Amino acid sequence: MVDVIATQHLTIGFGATRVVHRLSFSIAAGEVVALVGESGSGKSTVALSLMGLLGRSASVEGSIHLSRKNGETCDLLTLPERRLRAIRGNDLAMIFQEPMASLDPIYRIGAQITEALAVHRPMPQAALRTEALRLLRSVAIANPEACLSAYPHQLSGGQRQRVMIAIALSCQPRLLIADEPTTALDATIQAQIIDQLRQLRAETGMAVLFITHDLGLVREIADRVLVMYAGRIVESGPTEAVFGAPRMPYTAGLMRSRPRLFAETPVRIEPIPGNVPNPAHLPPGCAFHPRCAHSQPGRCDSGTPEPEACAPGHQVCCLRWREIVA
Amino acid sequence: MTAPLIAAEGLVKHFPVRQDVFGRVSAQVQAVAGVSLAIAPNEVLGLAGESGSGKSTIGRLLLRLLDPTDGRISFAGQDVTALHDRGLRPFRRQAQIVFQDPIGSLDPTMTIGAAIAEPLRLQGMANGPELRERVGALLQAVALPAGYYNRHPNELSGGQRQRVVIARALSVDPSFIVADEPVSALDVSIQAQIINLLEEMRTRRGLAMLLISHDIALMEHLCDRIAVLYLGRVMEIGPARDLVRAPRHPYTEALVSAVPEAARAGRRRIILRGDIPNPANPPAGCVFHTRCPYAQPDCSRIVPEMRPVASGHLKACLRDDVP
Repeated sequence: MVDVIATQHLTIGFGATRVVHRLSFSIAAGEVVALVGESGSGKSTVALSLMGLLGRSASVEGSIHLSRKNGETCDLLTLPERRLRAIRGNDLAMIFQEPMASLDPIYRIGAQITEALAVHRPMPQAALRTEALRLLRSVAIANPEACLSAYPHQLSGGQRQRVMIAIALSCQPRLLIADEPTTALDATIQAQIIDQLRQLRAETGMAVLFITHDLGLVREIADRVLVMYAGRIVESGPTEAVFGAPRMPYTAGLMRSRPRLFAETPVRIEPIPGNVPNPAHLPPGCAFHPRCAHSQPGRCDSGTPEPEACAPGHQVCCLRWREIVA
Repeated sequence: MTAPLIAAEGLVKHFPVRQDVFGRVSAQVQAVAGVSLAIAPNEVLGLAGESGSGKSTIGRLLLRLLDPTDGRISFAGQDVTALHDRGLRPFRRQAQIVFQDPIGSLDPTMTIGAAIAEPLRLQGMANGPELRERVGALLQAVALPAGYYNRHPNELSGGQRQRVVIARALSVDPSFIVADEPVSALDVSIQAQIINLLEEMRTRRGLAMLLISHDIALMEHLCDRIAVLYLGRVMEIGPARDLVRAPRHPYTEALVSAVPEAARAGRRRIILRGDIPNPANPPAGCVFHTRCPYAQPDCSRIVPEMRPVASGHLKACLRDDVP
C-alpha cells in the first residue's frame, strides 16, 4: 500500500509552548485512521498543520510527505504558499465540526460548491452545475436543485455537513481530514453522515484521517487508531488490537471511564483522576504519570517513554508496558 | 409506585417565533405538546431526545423557570403551577438545576465560596461562620480542596467548575435536581468523575433527578426509567434497561441503534430518512411517521395515544407488531 501522507518527527509550538511532540505516523490509500484525544491533546493542531492552516504564530518542524494525485511526492512544510494552494482542496480536503461556521452565510450553496471546482478543475459553467448536482446527490441530499439555490441558514445541520462533505470531495482528494465531523449533530443524523462517509470511502478509495474523542465511533469506522495525550501519540495500532487489549494505561483508562451500552450488570465506571495537563506546564517524564495508577516514582517521572512495538503494528509509549496489565 | 415527588400533567409550552410590528404573535412553535411525567423520591428519570425534542424546555418547566402554556405541575402533592415570586421560594429550595456549561453558569467575578454560599444566603439558611462551614463541607462533598474557597472560576478546569455548580445546587439540600447534559461539555476522562459524583449524591442524599441527555449509554447506566421525546411528545417511557435493550417504539429503536456500540453488539443499524421536522410545523398524525420505517397510511392521520406494553412501560405507536 502506498502511503498517502507520512509525518516524521512533526513538532509544533506556539511561542515557547510546544503542543505537538515528534509525531510520526502515516496513512495508506483507502485507510481510515482515527486520531483520538481529549481537548488540548493537540489533535486539531495536527490536522491544521497537515492542511498548512496553522498561521504564522506557529512554529512547525519535521516533515509531512504527501503523495499527490499527479504522482509526485512533496514535503508540505517546505512548499511555498502558492504551491500549497494548488494542493489544499485538491489533494487534501478538510471538514470541520461546525458546518455553519465553514460555509459563507451570504453565498448560495451552488456558488460555494462550484468555487473549489472552478479553481482546481476548470470546466464550462453548465458542466460546473451538473457536477455540483452530482456531488450533492452523492452525499444523499434529497432535493439537489433546491439545495443549489439555498443559503446555508436554510439548511439543517445535517444537510450543511453533507454540503461540506460534497465540497471536500469535489476534487477527489487523496486524503480527507474530518475534524469531529458529527459532534455537533444529533444521533440519528450522525448515523446518516457516518454511513455516507463509509460509502464514499469505499467508492473513491480516499484515505481518511478522522479526529474525534468518541471511542465508540472510532471502533465503528477506523482501521487504525492513534491515541494522543499531551501532544504525543501514546498508543497506536489496528483498532481492534488497541481497544481489544490496550497496553497504555491512558487508553485503558479512557475505555473504563465510559458507561458501556447493554452492560450485563451495572458496572461502576472508573474515572481517570486529575485533569488533562496544560501544554505549557507538562509534567516531567511521561506526561500521564501523575494520573496513572501504575506510575513508579523515580522512573515514570523522569524518563520520557519512546514508542515501542508490543505486537505487529501495535506501538505503545509506556516505560512499564511489559510489567503491567493496563 | 410510591407517591411521586414531582409530577407534570398535560404540559404544553408554546414559544412565539414570529411577531408583527405590534408584537402580535403570528407563528409559534410547540416546544412541548402535552407531556405527562412523574418522578418518585430517589428516582432518576432520563429524558432522551434529539435537538428540538423539547427536553430542556421540560426541565425548565418542571423547575418553574418557564411558565407552561397549559398543564399542571405538582411537587410533593402541592400544585406549584400557579405560584409566583415569593410563593415559589420554598419550592426553589427543594428543586435545583445543573446546566451543561459550567463556564456560563458561574459568575466570573465571584469566588467559588461566594457562589456556593449564595443560595444559602438567599434562602436565609445560614450566615456568618456557619455559612462558611457549610460551604467547606460542600466543597469536601464534591471532592474539591478547601483552599478553593477563595479562587475564581477561571482558575479551575471544566470538571472542577462542574463540581462547583453541583455543590451550589446541593447547598440548599434539595430533594429534586434537574441535570441538563451535565457532562457533555467535559472531556471523556473527566465525565466519569462527574457521573460518579451524581450517582453518589443520589444515593447519599436520596435525591430525585431528571437527567437530560442525548447519551443513551450514560442514561442506561444512571437512570431508573427513561422517557424518549420527539418533537415535544413522549414516544416511549419505561424502565431504563428494558427500554434500551428491547425498545418498543420505532424511534427508540432507531435512536439506540445509532449508538456506535449497538452495531458492534449485533444490532441492525437503522438509518432514518431525512431530518427532524420543524417543530413550528409538525407532521399530522404521529409526528414521527415521516421518518418511521414502519409507517402505514393510518399513521399520518391518527395521533397515537400512550398505551401500556408491559408493566410500567408505555409507548405512543399505533402498531403492535413493531419493532
